[in-house]
Amino acid sequence: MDVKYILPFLESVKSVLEQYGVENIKRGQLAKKDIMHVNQDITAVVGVVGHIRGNIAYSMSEDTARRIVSAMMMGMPVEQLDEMGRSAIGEFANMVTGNASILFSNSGLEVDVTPPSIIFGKDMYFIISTVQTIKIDMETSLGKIEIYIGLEI
Amino acid sequence: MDINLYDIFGTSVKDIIKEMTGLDIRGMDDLEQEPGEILSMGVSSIITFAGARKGRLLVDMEPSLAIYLANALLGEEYDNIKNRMVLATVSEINNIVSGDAITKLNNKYSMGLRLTPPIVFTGQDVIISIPKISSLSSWGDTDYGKIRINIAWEGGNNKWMLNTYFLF
Repeated sequence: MDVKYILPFLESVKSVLEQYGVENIKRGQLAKKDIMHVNQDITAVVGVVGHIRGNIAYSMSEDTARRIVSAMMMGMPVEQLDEMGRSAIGEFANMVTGNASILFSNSGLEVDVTPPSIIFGKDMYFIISTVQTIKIDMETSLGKIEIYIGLEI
Repeated sequence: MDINLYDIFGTSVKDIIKEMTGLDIRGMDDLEQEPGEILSMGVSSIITFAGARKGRLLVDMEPSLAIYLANALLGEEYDNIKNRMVLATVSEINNIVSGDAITKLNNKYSMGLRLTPPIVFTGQDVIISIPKISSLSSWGDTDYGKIRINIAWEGGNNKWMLNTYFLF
């Protein structure tokens, strides 16, 4: 997969988190996966259709998710991830992918974003693409976010 | 709410599983409102679509049914739900079902819907949450386990939105 299809998602995660005052965002390891074994608590998946077609998954621990929701709510303490919190994580995934679609649009690629799905569970096995999925870890001051990009181009 | 936007998926899943494996799905005649969160029965696959409206189809089934379908379609003896080929089979069935249903909706309503590739997953205590979208589920039963489909459309209760398609 050409790096030009990956970078907009990584840049979007960084810029959306920075809008909420999150610092120390560092790109971590990159790996290729046929099947995703996810040990995180929460995975938000957003699809894209148009010039590029695929799914992007954002996986994180519940603690990281609570910290992200708190940052999105101007620092309000979030004790547990209730319906509103889960909705906020869906919105976060939507914002990141939507922002990436704008970056693609600036490069002449029209991309539409589909509704996010939030999946909770332990010891999860996922397949999000019929081709290989790229995994990139993003380390942030709120915790680690694992980004899985499965695009059929 | 136009019921055609929902029940077409039930018809497709019954027809396609019957055609591909010979397996009959009993029931799947009624649609029930789901709460915001859905507890997975074992193996779940989601396809989302976008066009004139956005939506999502979830196909959820018991592990025994997923393994039966993989074995029937691939001629192998899989027994582990985490096997890539078992998950890929459920994913592909969702892909074919959604493709069939969305083609019919596009032909009928000119909705210009495009599908994402399917995602499929299994794990422990899996809960699926689709924020801010109301959804309807339809339940079926087979000789090898239960199956459920859940359909959600953004703006699901705005009948006028659908009516506008007839203007074009």
